[in-house]
Amino acid sequence: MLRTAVITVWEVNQRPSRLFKKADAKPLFMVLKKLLIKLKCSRGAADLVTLTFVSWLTIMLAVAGIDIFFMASRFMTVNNIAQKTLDAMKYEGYYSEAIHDGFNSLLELHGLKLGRDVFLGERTLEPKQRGEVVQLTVRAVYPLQGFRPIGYTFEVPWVVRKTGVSYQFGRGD
Amino acid sequence: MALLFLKKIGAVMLLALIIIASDFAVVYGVNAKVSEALNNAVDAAIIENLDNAALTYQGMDEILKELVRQKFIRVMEEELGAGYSPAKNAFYNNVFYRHGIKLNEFRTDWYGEFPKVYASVSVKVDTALLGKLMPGRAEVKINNFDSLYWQWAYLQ
Repeated sequence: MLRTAVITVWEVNQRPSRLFKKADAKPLFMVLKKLLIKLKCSRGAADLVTLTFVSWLTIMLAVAGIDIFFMASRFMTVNNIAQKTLDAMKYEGYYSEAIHDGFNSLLELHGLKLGRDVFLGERTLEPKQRGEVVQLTVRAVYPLQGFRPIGYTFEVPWVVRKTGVSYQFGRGD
Repeated sequence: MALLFLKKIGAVMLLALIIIASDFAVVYGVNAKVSEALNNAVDAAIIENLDNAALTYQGMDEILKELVRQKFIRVMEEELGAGYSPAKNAFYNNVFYRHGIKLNEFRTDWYGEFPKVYASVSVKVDTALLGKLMPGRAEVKINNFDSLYWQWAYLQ
C-alpha cells in the first residue's frame, strides 16, 4: 500500500501543477501526502498509552492556542496603558506621582497588578524642558498554562518602550 | 483506529492553529508598535517644527527641516530600540526588525501658521506560516499625517 502511495505521488509529481512554484522546490502536495500516510499509520494504536498521550497532546495544544490569544490581549492592554501614561507624561514633562497613581488605576481597571503582571522599568523621573525626550519602559509577563500537565510553564516576557517629547515649559527656578 | 486518526488530525490542525495565531499576534504587535512609534515621532517632529519656527523667518528652512528630521529619527530610534542607517534609509535591530523599517517618506511643511508633518514607513514581518500561505503580503505599511491646530488653545 505504501509503495502504491509513493508511486501515485511520483506520478502526480510529473504533472505540471500550480502547486509547483520552482523546479527544485518540494511540492506541497507531496508533503501533504507523506503527512497523510504518517497520520494513517496505526501501529501501536491498541496501546492505551498512545491513545492517552495523543488525547493529552490534543488538549494541551487546544489550551495553548487559546492562551496565545489571551497573551496577545494582555500585551495589547499593557501597550495601550503605557501609551496613555506617556501621553500624560508629555504634558507633565516627567513621570510624576500623580501619573504613577493614574498608571496604577488603569492597571487595576484591567485586572492587572503592578509587581505581579507588570513591572516598571526605566522612566523619566526628572522634569524635562519642552522638546526634550521623555521615556517610559514597562515589562509585562504572561505565563503560558497549556503545558502545565507535563510540568512546563513558560513565562513569556514583553517589553514596551515608549518615547515622546515634553510639552512642558520649565521656568528654570 | 479511526479515533486515533482523528486525534492525530486534530493535533496537527491545532498545531497549525497555534502557529498561525502566533504569527497573527506578531504581525498585530509589530503593526501596533510601529504605528504608535510613528505617532509619537511625528508628534515630536511637530513640536520641534513649531518651536524652531523662527528659523523660517530668517530663510533657514532647510536647517529647520533637518532639525525636525533629526528629532523624528531620534524618537523612532529610542522607541523601537533600532538604529537608523542613512545609507538604507531604514531602522534596523537584530530582534524584530532584521529586514528594517523603511522610511518611505518624511515631509514637513507649513499650513499658514501651523506646522504639519507627513511620514510613511513600511516594515516586513517574519512569520512562520502566515507568510507562506500569503506570500508577498507580509509587509505592513503605515502612514501618519499630523498638523498642529490645537497648540495655541493649549498654551492659553
